[in-house]
Amino acid sequence: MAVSRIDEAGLNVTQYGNRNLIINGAMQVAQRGTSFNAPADAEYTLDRISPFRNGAGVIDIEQSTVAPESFQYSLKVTVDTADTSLGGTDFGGLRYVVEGYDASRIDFGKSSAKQITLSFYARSSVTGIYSVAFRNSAASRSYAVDYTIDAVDTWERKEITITADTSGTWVTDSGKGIDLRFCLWGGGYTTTPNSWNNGNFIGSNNTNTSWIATVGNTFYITGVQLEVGDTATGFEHRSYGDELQRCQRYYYRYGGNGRENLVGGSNTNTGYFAIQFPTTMRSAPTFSNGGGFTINNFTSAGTPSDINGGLTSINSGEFQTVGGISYTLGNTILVYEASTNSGNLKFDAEL
Amino acid sequence: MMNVTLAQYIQGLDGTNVSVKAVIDGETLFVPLDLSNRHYAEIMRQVEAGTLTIQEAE
Repeated sequence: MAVSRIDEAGLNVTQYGNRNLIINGAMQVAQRGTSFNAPADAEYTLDRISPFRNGAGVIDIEQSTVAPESFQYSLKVTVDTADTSLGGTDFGGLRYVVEGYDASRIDFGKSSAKQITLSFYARSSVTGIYSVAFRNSAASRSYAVDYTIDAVDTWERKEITITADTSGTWVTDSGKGIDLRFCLWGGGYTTTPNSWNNGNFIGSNNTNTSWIATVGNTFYITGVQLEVGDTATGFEHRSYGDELQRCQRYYYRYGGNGRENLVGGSNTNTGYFAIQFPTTMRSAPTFSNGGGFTINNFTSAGTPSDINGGLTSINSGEFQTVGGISYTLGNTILVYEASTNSGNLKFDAEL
Repeated sequence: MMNVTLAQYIQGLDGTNVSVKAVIDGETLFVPLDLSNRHYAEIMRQVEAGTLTIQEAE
């Protein structure tokens, strides 16, 4: 007998895929590296996650193997420079931005707006109240929520449901959909929790002041999930390959996987190379490079004096080499890492 | 806010400007001329504020 209908009531909701709006919520993907000493405000660290901070407080970020059951990694934050007297513009924590296309299903800003639920595992060396804030792209709508760390250095799962926002303008394209802030300290830009506010707030005014006050204090987070509805379901584990490709929409690092070759061509003074991205990027990315590369025209090889970014699109990037060899119009040339894993090309389309 | 200390256009094969070479927070970046790119959006914000000038390509 053919099955004409699946009885949804008999299914476990955790069997449904694509519930989680957060990419890299299990902190597995670290294309930029695994340890970041005093990253600047908005400088990306583990994929998709950056710190936000203002004032004296400075933090370090790393990928940690301290993790709750069923997780391999967490993101660890350590106080690098303390702020013992929070001023009105002192604040900081972790930031994640949901792309508008992904957030559009929530319908914020419409009469059909839905509740959303955030869940995560947190662990801190300091007990007390911490907070999370949700904001729109223009930072004209904000909602802060408290949560409590009850025990020192113990993994705790937190579940936060917030009411739908039927007001404001919420981006539903490739721009900033929801700006999510895990507030670790906040002397300013904080608000009364549990309601939507007009304005720019990064956390609750109940957020503790002691975590940032001592160098070496730690905060870990993993298993971050944001989903539509009023119920926190189990964390949606995705394959590493799936998660990596989702991350590569925002950042792609080429190199560091052996001695990889790219083929290009030259005019009389410059080499031109094109690279196809593994997935369509969110926007035309910013190009940068690091480490050592060798340029080779099959007659001689050398080190280019410059590698410059050229025309990039959401699907491919071009870069140019100068110096290192004698360039001849129409010649085929190669560029490769000067030694195994020595060079990298970076394409950044983060929000 | 990003600290942009240098900005200069880079030309492509056809001689048109295709990116901006910029030093942002101490790192040399090549930024596409696309306002949905956060680096270019910040460069143009500073240009419009009169605090940054993009130099012509060499």
